[in-house]
Amino acid sequence: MLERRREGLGGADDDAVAIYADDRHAVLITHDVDATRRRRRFTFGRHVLLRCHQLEAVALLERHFDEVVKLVRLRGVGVYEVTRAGVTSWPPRYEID
Amino acid sequence: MTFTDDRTAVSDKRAAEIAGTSRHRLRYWEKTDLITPDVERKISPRNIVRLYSLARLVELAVAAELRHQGVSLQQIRHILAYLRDQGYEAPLRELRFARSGERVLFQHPDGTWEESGRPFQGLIIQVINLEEIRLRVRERLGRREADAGMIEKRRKVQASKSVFRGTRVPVEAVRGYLEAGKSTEEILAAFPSLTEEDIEAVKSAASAVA
Repeated sequence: MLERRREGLGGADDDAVAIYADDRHAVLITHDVDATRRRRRFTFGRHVLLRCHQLEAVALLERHFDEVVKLVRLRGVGVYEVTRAGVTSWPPRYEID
Repeated sequence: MTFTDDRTAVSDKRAAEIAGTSRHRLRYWEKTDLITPDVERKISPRNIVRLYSLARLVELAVAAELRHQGVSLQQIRHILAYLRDQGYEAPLRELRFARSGERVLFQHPDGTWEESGRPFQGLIIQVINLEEIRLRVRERLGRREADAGMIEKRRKVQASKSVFRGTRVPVEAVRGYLEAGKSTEEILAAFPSLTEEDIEAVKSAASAVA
């Protein structure tokens, strides 16, 4: 969505996007395994990692949407990994580099 | 979903580019409380993320313009303190500024010009056009035309995989759409920040490999 118009973060790095989302209490939905791994090590905000091809993202999220919403509401800050098999949640960790 | 200006945010690097100043100067303005980022968050001892909103970008651009016209930081700070005392919350984006020789003037919403505490009557040499600055900032927020069709790798963006310059869209994603038989129109609808030149760049690279 940040790409959609002129929100300005089109060229920003992963950390800036994650902070932007967290600042607005938004859930960041991504395919980026690397960025999500960093957030699993030092967690802030809520991140949903979709483990699928880009073209399958809508279908996968629709299939598990209720479960994702339920978990995010219940546990809040953390990383949520969505695969065909279901949703796994990773609790926050605060390991500093 | 309606996008409004309050959703706009840029990193300090982009903010400096858009405002026409340097990152180093932004840091100094922040340190001296002249203009601070809307969001500042320390992720690690070496990594602090700073985000500037559209409103703040306009302030930065006006301050940069004043500096460009030779107004000292001390003068700017003095005027801002005076105007804040007068009840303006964000004078740099609420008022028009101008110069007359060495003097810095500002125009109140009722149209009167003032020079810190004194009504001004005289010849105004150079007016800083706030609307022009707002327009310029908005234009610079978008992706640069020269970036269309360009591919690059950036640290901490999509795991350093190839992305289209000025976006966070991975080239791999577009390749996947093409392999699935999606048309250029369908891809542009899915990734509105891309252009036909970007899609052509992926197609050319694929045909070169084949």
